[in-house]
Amino acid sequence: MENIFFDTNYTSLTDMLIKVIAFLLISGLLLFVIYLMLTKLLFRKNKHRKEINLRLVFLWTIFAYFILFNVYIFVLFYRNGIDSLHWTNAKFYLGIIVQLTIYIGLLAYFFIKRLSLKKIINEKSIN
Amino acid sequence: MATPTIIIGIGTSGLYTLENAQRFYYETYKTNKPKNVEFIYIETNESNRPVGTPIGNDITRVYISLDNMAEMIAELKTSCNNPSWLPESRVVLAAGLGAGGIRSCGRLAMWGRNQKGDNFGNVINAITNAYAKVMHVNNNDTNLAAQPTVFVTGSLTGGTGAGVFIDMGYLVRHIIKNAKDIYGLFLLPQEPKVIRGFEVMYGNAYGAIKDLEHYNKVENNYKEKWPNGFTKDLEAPPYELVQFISQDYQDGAPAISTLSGLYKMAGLYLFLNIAGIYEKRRERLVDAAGNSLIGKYGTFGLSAIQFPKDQIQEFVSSQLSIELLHRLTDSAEYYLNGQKRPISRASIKQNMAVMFDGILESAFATLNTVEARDLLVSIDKDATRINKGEIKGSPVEFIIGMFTSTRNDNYHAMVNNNIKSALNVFVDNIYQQVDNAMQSTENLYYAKYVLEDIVESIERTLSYWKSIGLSSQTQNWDNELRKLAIGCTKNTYKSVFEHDAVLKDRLNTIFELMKMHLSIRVLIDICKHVREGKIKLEGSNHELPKLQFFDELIKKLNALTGRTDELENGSISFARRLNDIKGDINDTTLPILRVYPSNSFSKECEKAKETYTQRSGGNVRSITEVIQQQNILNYLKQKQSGKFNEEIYLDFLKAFRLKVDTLNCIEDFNIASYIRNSTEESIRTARKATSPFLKINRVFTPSPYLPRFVVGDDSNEITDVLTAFRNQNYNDFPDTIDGKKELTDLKNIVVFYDEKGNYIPITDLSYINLMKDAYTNVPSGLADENITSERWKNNRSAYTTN
Repeated sequence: MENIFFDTNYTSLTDMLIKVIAFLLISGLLLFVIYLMLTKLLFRKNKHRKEINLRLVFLWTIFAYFILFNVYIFVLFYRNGIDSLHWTNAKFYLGIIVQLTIYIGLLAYFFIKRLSLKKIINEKSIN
Repeated sequence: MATPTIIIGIGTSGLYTLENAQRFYYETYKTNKPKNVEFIYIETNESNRPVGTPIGNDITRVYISLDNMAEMIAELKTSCNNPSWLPESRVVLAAGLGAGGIRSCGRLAMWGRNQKGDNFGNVINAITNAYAKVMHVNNNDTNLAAQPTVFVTGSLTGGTGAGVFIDMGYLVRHIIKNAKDIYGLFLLPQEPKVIRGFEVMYGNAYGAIKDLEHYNKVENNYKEKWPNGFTKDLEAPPYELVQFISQDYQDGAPAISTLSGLYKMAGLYLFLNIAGIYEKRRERLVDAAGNSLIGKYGTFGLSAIQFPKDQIQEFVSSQLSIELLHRLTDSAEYYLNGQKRPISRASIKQNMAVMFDGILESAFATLNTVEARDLLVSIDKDATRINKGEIKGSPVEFIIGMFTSTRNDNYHAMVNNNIKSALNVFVDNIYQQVDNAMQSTENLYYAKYVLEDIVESIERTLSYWKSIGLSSQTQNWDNELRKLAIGCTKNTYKSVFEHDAVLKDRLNTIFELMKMHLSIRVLIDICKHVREGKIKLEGSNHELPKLQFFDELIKKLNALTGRTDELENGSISFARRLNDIKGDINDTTLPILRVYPSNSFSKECEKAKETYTQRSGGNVRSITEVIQQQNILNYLKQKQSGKFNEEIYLDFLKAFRLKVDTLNCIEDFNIASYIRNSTEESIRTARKATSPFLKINRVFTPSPYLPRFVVGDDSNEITDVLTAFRNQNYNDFPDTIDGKKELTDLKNIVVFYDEKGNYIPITDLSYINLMKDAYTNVPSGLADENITSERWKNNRSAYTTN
C-alpha cells in the first residue's frame, strides 16, 4: 500500500478494494476539474443549445482524461519494467485490476454519454 | 372650312361602324378623330364596349338600360300620354339581350328610365355635350363652320337601331336647332338567298323603311310627347338624306362576304367625310337636290386601292403579342438575362426550402418583441429569478405559468396577440419571392412553381413539428409544456456553475416551441389559401397569391393565344384576330384591292417583324414592352378584376402597334405609282365604285351633279392616275376639280367614290317584297306558339305610321 499508483503486485483483496475506491475518487475529481475548466473554455460564445454544448464538453473531458490516464499507464509500465508484466499470469491481472477498471470504465462511460447526446440531438428532438 | 360633326352610332352595328371610322382616322392622322368631331355610341346591350386604337378610344358610350321594362312602360304610359307604340309588358319581358330584335323595345330603351339612369336624359346630355365640344373646339378658329352636321348610323335589322333611328333624327333636330345637315347612314340586310330563319331581320328592316317613308312624306307629322316633357308635332323629315347600304352590289357582283366588310365600308365612308370629302359632297348634293337628282334617299359605291399598312401592323403586333404570351405561359423554359433555360423543378424546390427557413426565422424574430419589450431578455431574467429562488411556488409551476395557454398575461398571450405580425412576415416574404420570380423570369409557370414549392416547404415543416409532438391545439400544448417544464428542473448543471445559462436556454427552447405551436394555424391557413383558395390572407401590402390565380391566368392567356380553344363564342383572341386579318386581306368580295411592294402580305409581315426585332434590340419579347416598369403581378391582378381577355388583348396589341409604328417598321407605299404600273387591274377596282352597295330595281344614270371623285394624298398624282385611266379608255372618273379630292395625310390608299340617289327603297329595293312578306306574316313553325300574326307585326313596328 506504500505506492498505490505504481505497484502492480496483488497483495490482498482489501488493498485492492481500497485502491479501486481511491482511483475512482481521484478519477472523479480529475474529471470534474477538467470538465469545469473546459466548460469555461469551450463554446463560451454560443449561448444557444447550452445543454448540448455542456454534454459535448463532457465527452471532451472524458477524452482528455483518457489521454492523461494513458500517460499514467505508460509511466506505470515504464517504472515497473517490461519484465514485471506477466501477461500470462492471472495474478498479474488482479494487480492491475484497478487500472483496468478505470480504463474500461472510461471507454464505456464515453460511449454511454455519446449515446445520450445523440438521443438529444436526433431528428425528433426539440433541441 | 372644317365642319363641326357629330357621328352617332346606334346599336352594335353603329358601334362597329364608328370603330372602323375611328380606326381609319387613326391610321391616317395618328389621332382618333379631329377636334371638330365627336363620336357617340348608344347601346342597349351592356356587355358591348368600344374597342380603341393604340392610343385609346374616343367613342363616347351611352348605355340605355332595358332593366325593369315593365315599370318603364308603366311610367311612360303616364308621362307620355300612353303612346300607342309602347310594347306590352309580357312581350318585353321575353325580349332577351339588348332590345331582343323587337323594335318597340329599342325605342322603349331610349325613352325609359330605371334605377340605372334616365336613358332619354342621358342621350340628350351626350348629344348636348358633344354639340358643345364640337362647337367650342377653338373660339379663334375662323375656319370652323357655324353649323354642325350630324351623321346617325346603325343597322335597321335589330331592335335598337330600327327602333330609335327616327326618334334620334328628331331628337338631334330638337337639341341642335342650327344643324346644317342631319344624315342617316343605315345598313340593310343583303338580298336574301334564304329568308327562313332571318324573318325578324328582314321584317324589322321593312318596318323601319316603311316608317321612314311615312315621316319623309310632307303630309305626315311626327307627333309625340317625349319623356322630358316636350310635345313635338314636327313636319320636317327626320333626316335630310338617308343613305342605305348593304353587302350587295348593284351590278350583281358577289356580295361582300362578311358583315365586318360592310362595317368597314361604312366606316371608310364616315372617315372620308370627317377627313374632308363632306364639304365636297355637300357642294354637289346641293346642286343635285336643286335638280331633283337626289331625293330623300341615297346610296354610294366605294372602292379603293390600298397598301394595308394598318393590317400588317396589327398582324405583326398580334404575332409579337402571341410570342410574349407564349413566354409568359411556357411550362418548360424561361428566359433569364436574355438566356433561355429549362425550368428545373428540383432546383426551385431546393432554393425555396432554404428560402422558407429564412422566412420562418424572420417571422419568429418578429415575435420576440411585443410593444418594445424584448421577450428574450425578459425570459433570461425569469430564468435567473428561478435559479435564485426569487419566485413563488415551485419552478415547474412557474415555468408552466410563463407559457401556458390558460393565462392571458404571460408569454403565450403576448405572442398569440402578436401573431398577425408573423403572418405579415410570412405573406410579405412569400409574395416577395413569387414577385421576384415573376419579375425576373416573366414566366407564370416559374412563379407558380416557386409558390407551390414554398408551400411544400411549409407542409414539410408542419409535418416535422407534428412529429415532435406539436400541434395547434392548446390542450396538447399545455400537456407538452408540463413535460418540458419538468425537464427544465432536472440535470441543472449547477455543479459546473452553468445552471443559469442552461435554464435560459431551456426556457428559450420552450419559447421557440410555443411560437411553433402558435404559428401552426397561420401556416395551415397559408397552405389552404395558396392551394385551395378558400381563405383570403393579406400581408402588410399584398394579398398572398394563389395557385388558382396562376392556373386561371395560364388558362386564359393560352386561350388568348389560341393554344387552347376555351374561349366563349365571340370572345377576342389573337389567333382569331390573325385569322380575321388574313380573311379580310384575302376577301375578294370587298371592293378594296390590296397591293404590296413585295406582292405578298406575308412577306410584308415577315419584313416588318424582322425590322422590329432589329430595332427593338433582340428577338426575345419582354412584358416591359407592354407595361414598361409596372409590376407584372400587380398588372395581371388588376386585369383579373376586370374583363381580363379583352383588356390584355388591347393592352398588348396597342403597345406593340405603337412600338411597330414608332420604330417605323413598315414603310409607306406610293399607291399612285402602283396604279400607273398596273392600270388594268386598277381600273377594275375603280369600276367597282360605280356600282353602289344596294340592289335597286332602277338604273342609276351618271350625273355631274352627284359626287363622284377620286381621293388621294396628292392632287397631281390623282391626275396621273386619271390620265393613266384615260389612256386605257376608262373615263368614269373625270379629271376635273370636282373629280378629285386631295387629303394630304391619306397615305397608302386611293379611294374611288360615287354617290347615287333619287330612289324610293320601299318600292325600288329589289327584294322589298320578300322583306314585306317577312314583316307581314308570322314564320311557320315558330317554337313560341304565343306569337300571333298581330304580335309578330307589332314586334316589327315601333312607330304609329299605319
